[in-house]
Amino acid sequence: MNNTFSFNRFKNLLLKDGKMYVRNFGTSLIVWCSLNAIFWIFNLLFGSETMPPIRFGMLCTWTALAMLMVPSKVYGNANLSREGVGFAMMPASSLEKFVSMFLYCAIVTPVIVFFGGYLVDTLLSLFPFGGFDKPIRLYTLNEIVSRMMTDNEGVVQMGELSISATTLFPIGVIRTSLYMGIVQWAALFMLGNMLFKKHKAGKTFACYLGISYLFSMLFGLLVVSSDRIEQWLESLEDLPAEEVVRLWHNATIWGMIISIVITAVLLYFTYRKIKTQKY
Amino acid sequence: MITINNLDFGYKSQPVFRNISLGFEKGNIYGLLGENGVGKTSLLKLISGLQKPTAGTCEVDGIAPFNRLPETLQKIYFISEDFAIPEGTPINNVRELGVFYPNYDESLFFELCKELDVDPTRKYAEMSFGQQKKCLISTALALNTDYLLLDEPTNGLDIPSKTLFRQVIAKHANDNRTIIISTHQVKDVENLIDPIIILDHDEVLLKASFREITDRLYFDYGMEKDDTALYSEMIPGGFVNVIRNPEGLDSKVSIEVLFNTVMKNKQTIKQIFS
Repeated sequence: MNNTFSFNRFKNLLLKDGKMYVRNFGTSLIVWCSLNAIFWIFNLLFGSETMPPIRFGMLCTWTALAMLMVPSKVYGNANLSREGVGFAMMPASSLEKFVSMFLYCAIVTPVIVFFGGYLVDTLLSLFPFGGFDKPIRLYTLNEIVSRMMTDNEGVVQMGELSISATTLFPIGVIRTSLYMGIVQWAALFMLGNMLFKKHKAGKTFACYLGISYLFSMLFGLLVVSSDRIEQWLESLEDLPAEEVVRLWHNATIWGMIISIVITAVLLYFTYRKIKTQKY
Repeated sequence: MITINNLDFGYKSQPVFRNISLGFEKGNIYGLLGENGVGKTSLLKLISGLQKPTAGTCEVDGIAPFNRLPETLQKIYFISEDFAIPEGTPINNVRELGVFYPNYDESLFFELCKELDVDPTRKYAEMSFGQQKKCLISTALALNTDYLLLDEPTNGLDIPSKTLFRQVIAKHANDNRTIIISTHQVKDVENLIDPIIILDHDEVLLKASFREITDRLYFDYGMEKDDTALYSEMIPGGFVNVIRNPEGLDSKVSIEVLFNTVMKNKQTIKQIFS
């Protein structure tokens, strides 16, 4: 018997978790998908701005909020000494349990909430509400990048040099960062779900804010207290634009590597916790 | 077979077991007895892989259960005393579980539900505690695992249900299955369990079959109290005196009296059965 991964066993686990997902999060899914519409109906009543890009941003926010809730709603019992016995003793490997949890938290939930919300928003735009007359247009990554930081045909002006936004933000890097961001967000709340016994989403979010604040403070202090960094930043002004772009690319790639490492660490500890949790 | 060798276990600074060794062979219904807090539930959790020994080994068919390999997990089913109520109906629950257990028998599940007089299509949330427990026992037996661990299974059952429980366990015990019943309500499992394991704080005081017990101890039911007995207890109509049995006389074991005898004569009993 393959004790690490069996497709047949994994299929059975996915089906079982799917039923649990519908039981524990099905109603919430409908609520999350409708929240965007409810939010905009209230905005319309008060005559607020309902431009498609703003609605798109809100759709992303609802998706992120749903992802914050889903691990504790569906797998909230997994680390509890009484309720978690069934999860621990389910005859599937820890890897299978982890992958199934990951699929529902990091892929199924954002896809359903985002596209469900998008569908509701589109239906809403079919009715003659003032200011809500156009469906949200889903932009390609290329278009989004071209519109970022620029009002001028996808061109970023750096001093005297004009650089294409897609050169400054390579699509591959942006795509990876986007997917990594989604996975990292899901991984964070999956780990929080396995670490905390109560108020799982709230405590995880508080830790996330606390750690982010701490690192920002440390980084800020480092920049303020170090003359060398200030000198280095000033010296950038004298560099040719190509060199600045090269440095920017390096920084982006390092940022991405750090992001991948953080995500991998979060996922590893979630897996580890599933494997070694005591009840 | 379940093998426990030189096992240490505890919670933080509180030791539960120190250097205990035990074996559980197939085909038996073990009775795990002991006062509250001696570690009966902890031992079941160690065997089912929910806890990890701090030292020594606990193995189920040669594999440490805490590794939680599917191969091991599909051989074990554990009903804890404070079980979580499953969602939905018993039939849906057992069907969801059944696909993971190779010997799952749905017709047996229906048969057991009928024997225990519970409706498998009714939601767990709408059942009484006793009915929920009977559904879980039906689930456990229908999954046909090699090792069935039951923690205080008769708690919350009414008198007819306790009888039914004894009947279904006795009926569905077989040579390939090991059943371990942890309880402090010994009368509920009288005539069902054999061998008996009595735990004390940190250690195993007794592990013996009824044959071994009656070979070494004689349960004398009479009118008089015997002052030389290891233990005497007043019963309706007289006394039961537990004495050594050098002649190998046959007698009927009362588990409750045996338990009290062991608790009052820990070192002597260990010597007699060593």
